[in-house]
Amino acid sequence: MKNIITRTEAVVAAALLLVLSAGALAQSEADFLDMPLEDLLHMEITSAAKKDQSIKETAASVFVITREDIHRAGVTSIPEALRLAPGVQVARIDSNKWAITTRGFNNQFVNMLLVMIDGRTVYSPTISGVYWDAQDTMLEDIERIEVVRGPGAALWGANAVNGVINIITRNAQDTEGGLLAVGGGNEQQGLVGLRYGAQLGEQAHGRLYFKYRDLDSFWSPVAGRDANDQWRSVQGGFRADGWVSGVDSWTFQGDIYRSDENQLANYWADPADPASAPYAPYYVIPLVEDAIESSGWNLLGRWNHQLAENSETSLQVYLDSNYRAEAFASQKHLTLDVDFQHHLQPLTGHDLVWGVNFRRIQDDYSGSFMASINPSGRNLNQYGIFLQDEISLSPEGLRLVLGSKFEHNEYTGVEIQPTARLLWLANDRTTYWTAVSRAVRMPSRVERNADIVFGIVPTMPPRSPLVIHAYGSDRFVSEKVLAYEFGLRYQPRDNLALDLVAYYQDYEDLETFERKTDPFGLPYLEFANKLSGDSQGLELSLDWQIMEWWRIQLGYSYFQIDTQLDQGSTLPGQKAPNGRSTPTHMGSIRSLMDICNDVSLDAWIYYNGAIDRPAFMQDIGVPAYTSLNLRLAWRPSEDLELSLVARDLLDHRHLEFVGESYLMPTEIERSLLARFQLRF
Amino acid sequence: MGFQHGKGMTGWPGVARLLLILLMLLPATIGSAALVSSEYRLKAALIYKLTRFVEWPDAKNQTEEDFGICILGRDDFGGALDALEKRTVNEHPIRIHRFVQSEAVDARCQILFISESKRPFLRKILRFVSQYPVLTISDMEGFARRGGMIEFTQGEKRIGFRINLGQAVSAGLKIAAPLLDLAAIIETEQP
Repeated sequence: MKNIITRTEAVVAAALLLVLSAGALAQSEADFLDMPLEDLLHMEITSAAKKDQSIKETAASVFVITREDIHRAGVTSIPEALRLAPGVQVARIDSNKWAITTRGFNNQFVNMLLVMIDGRTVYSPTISGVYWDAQDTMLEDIERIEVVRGPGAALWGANAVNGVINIITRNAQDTEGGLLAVGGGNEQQGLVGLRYGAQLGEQAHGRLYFKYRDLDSFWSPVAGRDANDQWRSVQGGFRADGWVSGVDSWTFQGDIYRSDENQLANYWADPADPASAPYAPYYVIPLVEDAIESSGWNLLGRWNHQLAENSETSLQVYLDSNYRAEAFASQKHLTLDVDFQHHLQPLTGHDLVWGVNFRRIQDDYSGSFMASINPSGRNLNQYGIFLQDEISLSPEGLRLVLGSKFEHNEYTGVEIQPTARLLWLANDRTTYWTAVSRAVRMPSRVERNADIVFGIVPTMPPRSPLVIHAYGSDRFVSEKVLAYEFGLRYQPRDNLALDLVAYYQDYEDLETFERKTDPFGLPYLEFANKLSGDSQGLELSLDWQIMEWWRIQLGYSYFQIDTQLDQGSTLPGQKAPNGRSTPTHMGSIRSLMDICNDVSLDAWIYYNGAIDRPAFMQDIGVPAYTSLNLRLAWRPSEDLELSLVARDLLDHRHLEFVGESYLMPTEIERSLLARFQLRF
Repeated sequence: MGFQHGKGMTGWPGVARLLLILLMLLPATIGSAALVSSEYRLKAALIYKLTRFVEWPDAKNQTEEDFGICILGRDDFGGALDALEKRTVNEHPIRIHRFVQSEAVDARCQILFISESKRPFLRKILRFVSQYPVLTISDMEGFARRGGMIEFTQGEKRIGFRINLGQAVSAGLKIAAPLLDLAAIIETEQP
């Protein structure tokens, strides 16, 4: 493996060098400042970011977190930025772990959300969830984060069951020049971000960035000491964008990162190992100071080609490699993904988009007594097609969207994920939409092939203790949802916008563990699909620009779920934890004030209701909490900003969530951060 | 743990290498000189070009001051305007100023670009800046109709102008005929 890492790192380094040298050789700008006005007016423009208009015309529960939102919130990581979207439950487990979901089913390995960074899927095939500590970029270079609550599978495919998060970084032509951001505080002890962007040749731009984070540990109430969850990460990357002619444009980008993290865990000792004798009879090694090593790189290229006025194609290819090691297991993935899309208007009133996708994931695991994956290495191929047609039904603004994804995976074969959506632009200020969609969440490698030690039961010597395993199963199928949604967008005045969504989601084949007995009469557990349920809820956001210098944003979500175990389920405890990990009520209020032209003061309060049971495997509840966050910023000049950010001001520390059984509850501490940002 | 170079694994390095080569070829194919620009890069260039067709009241032009191009609200130009600081207008070096609040806008500005983010407060802003001889520009829909001077409009692929000549004249600005020929001339509509 050492070999592989060094080789891939060398390749990435070579790619970086190539981009750098392209920059060095760049010719001076083809200066259209010297061109006649008439010629400028004949120039074609590459379309910039999607306009607000298109959000207004989307028949889905979409919330967009803008660059300014992220900046003004004073957040320093992607997971913390996601708290800005109403209906997204962001729960910090410890300093380097988050549980994030929309519409329920949160846990440490939550798996119903599809997360993409610039079109690259970042959820881990091991758990079908996201290791958020490994997902970072230069926050200042994020253009926007699109949060789709509810199924988005018809376009994006498996895993977009409860939502899609699309993190979109800025086009390199918008990030010319340098940016240095440095911060430090009691929890975020060192934050450094540096970006430099320049023009490359006549028709391309590029940027490079480097980022370093050093985060302190939080508090473990069980251990009565710091939670040993401090961590550091280093990341670098580049993005280049350009165009070849009026009809061709391209993007080429990549990242490389490494983080060294820590955790405090209770691990199982192997009773068969004589060295484990001190831990008898329960064979638990308490308070192990374990390290997590996480690293990876990715390269992505995208080519857009316009065939005709109303016909556009894009081809995207990426490679993603990541490695993660902790005491109980290590895992390595290499993913190749090829994605082709064609957007056209073949007939009046039809807006058609279709695409094909191929993904190959090569994985390799090494396990321990506590957990292993068998077979330890596999190649998984996944391919699919999708087709979606937006049909204008009437000139009054009634549109019908019909679409489906047909996707083949090696676990469950072909999965069909259709959607039907109806949108009515009633007038300039009012939009109604409704949708029915089906989506599936593919089995993860763990659910199919894992062997996890679930418990050790002491026995009378001389018999050896009974080790209870939980096994993945070939019979584990996809989890399925059928969702019904209704939405309203209303803008009574230019300065006031309201977005309201109501939904009902019907789930089948949800994950459970079933108690079984082997031929020798010994008990074990097996992953199975013996739970069904239905959820309902509301998502509300309100944006009110009261005055030119004062803006208020409100967010609220209501969530209710009922789950039912199938007849004959032998889930231990007969109590399904799924669904009880999301609060009934979540709410937030943000106030953004420009006190004067160069000073701003922002306040952000969010409330998360109590949770019965955040972890699948341990029965610990989390009380409701309210968090107050303040940010004061001063811009003494155009290019310099100094800011102070205080987070979680209302308590010394609080619990937000609880991880799976090897982890103990960790309380999130109040934090202060001073930051300075310079453009050059 | 590690990738063994055994059965089924050998295809990878080859595929990866091929793809990397393909990806690296992408930028190398650039070279043709079609006239394409990003939206705000072009808008920045247009703002600069407009200065050639506008005459500000004499007092402004005779001072030794800088020529101020100001942005009010969210800055979508992403550095494209800063490139203008190397240029001059009637021998006055261009300076870029950014404002969050309209009250802070002052006589330093000869041009004021009003961002879409200020749409709800447009009337108030235009009333406030009418005390200065400043050319107001925006790309928000309906800007010229609502009392702004120059509105950038966007067709399928290209950018055009709407000019509210009445507003410019009442601010003491003169707009040269060649520019007017390129634009749609409209008047302020009362709400």
